Amino acid sequence: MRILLVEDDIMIGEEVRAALREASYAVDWVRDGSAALAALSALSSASSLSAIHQPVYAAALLDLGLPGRDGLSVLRQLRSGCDIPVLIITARDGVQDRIDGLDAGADDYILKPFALGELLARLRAVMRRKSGAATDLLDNGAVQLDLGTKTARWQQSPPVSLSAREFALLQALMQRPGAILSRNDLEERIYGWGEEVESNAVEFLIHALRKKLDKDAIRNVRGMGWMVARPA
Amino acid sequence: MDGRASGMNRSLQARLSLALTATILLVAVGAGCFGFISAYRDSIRMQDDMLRQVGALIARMDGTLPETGAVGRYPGGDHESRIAVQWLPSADDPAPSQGRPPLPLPADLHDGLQTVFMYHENFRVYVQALESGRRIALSQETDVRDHIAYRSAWRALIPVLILVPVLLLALQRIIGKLFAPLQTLRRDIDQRRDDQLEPIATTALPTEILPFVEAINRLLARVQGALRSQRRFVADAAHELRTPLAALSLQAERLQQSEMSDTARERLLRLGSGIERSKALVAQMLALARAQGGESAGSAESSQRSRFALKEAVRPVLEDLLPLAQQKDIDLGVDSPLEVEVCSRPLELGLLLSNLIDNAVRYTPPGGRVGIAVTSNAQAGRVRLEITDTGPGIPAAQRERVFEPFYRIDPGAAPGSGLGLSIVQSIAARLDIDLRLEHADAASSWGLRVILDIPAAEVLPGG
Repeated sequence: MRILLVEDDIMIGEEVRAALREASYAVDWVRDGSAALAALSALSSASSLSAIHQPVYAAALLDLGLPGRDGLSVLRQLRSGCDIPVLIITARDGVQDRIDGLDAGADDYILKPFALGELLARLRAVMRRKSGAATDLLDNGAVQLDLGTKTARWQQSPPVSLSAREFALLQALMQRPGAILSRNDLEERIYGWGEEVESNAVEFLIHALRKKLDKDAIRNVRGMGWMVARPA
Repeated sequence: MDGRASGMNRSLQARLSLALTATILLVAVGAGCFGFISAYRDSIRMQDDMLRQVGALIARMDGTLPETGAVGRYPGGDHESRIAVQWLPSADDPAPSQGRPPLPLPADLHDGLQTVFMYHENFRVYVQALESGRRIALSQETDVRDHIAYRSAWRALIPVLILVPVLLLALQRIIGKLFAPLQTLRRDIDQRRDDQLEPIATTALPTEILPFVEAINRLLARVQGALRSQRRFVADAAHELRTPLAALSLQAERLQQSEMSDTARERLLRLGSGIERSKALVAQMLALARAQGGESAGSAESSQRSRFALKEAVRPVLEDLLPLAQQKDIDLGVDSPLEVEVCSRPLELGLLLSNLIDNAVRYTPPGGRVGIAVTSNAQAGRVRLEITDTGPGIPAAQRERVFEPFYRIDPGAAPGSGLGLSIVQSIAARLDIDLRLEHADAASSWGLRVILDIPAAEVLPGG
């Protein structure tokens, strides 16, 4: 896959390019906005001649703090022509800055200074979202929940099947690893409208899940609720 | 202010009212004296005239005294103010009248008015010569005359005595009223927070003060500009640091993947933690600059407070900090339901709580406990939130200083920038949150309890 990297800082650009190459992406690195637009239009016009309307770049990494043309205007112009996934790299993290970036058409943003692992993960995420390939496996690094078969597994141990309510509860937790869900939140997820809520049902289900998986699979947060660990 | 007394001397209001009071009193005393003396003199002169007129009357009647040798009495007259009329003895007539004369007047009195001392008293005597050559004397006690004169003189003083206090009172009121705008102005400026630099309202100010206030406003504008550019500089500097830091951290991260000796790897690890510290510092500097209003002050959405459940602000903070707490084996949790609603700004309140809970987790030794609780003993309109840890706490003597930027009690105790509590304080001021620190366990001076009094969402009728 080919990635367009728009980054004016040489040190960052070199490191990111090297890291992307190590992750087996092909990288085109340009250092300003005009070059970025030129690269995109040149390649897309070239590709439009070909029969296959396949976008050349799988994604673009765009630094907002570019010399000459500011990154947001590059992003807007880029968005008017094509819809490749764009991950913006920014040093500005004010709420308004983030809103502006997302409004201008970014799929996600990453804040400087960032870790390479996070950059690659977010890049994979925006590409996956754009391709529409929703995964049917939720994974936080410790627990894997298979939405198709309604089975779960703890690390390398064999998968176990879950009851409907166990599954609903674990799914609620696994959708946002690291988020705390209160008893109310969980009850809303596992009971339908008008269903009688049994007291201690949540505790009972969590106890059962911990028994099937591992006692550390679901963590209790005193006074607030439960969570599963965020991926490391 | 340096000394109340010298401040009093320099107060225009005090000086004005003092000067006016003194002037009025001086004028009043002068007018009083003049009135008193002239009324006294008039009275004396009038009584003298009366003696003279009575004498003239008797002379015209050619010496027929109504009651020769006796005391003349007017009906209804004051006994004390009686006028005695008598023949004066002369050389050829040593005993001019029958009976005893009322007063033993000497024969050598000259014609006209004089004062004679008899019986330990002064008498005013008018001697009138008749055509017959005989002389009559009309006399009156001076004490009585003086008494009457004094009375009328005092009466002349009454309007002054009544009107001067009224005038002084009115004067104080008027001066107080005229200086009231100055007092309001002083209160307005006194009550401002450090960062309230908006211009002073110039409506309803007297034209004499207006130029001063306008000058102060110009100064405020300049200070605000300077402050803003200083804060913007801090924010910009922190932003600018991010790019080189990002480059540095990427290189360190990639370096880890290359072949190296164990010592090199260990040093690289330390390098990495140094970079992490720099990152945290830059992030905190930005947060502080933002909390002080250098950056997002203009954005409208951040200036509006809204009502929300306290839980919503605490939850994301806990989600962020639980990994650190678990790593240190610290029991981080909530000890009472947080369903209460507050009136605040969720993002900023979250940042404030994040800094406080982060501190609590950092300074609490492994195996400790950090608790968050809403307690009921807050004043009306406030929600009291307490964050309690089992760390070393902050000694009472340090509780002011810990809010200063970059101040740290023990820099070796835990990693940190020294900016966290400055951020907390700045946000607390902006969100009108009262903030207090104390020992969680007062008896053993151990642990820290942070007490936050957050404006509560006002209870809406029916809600």
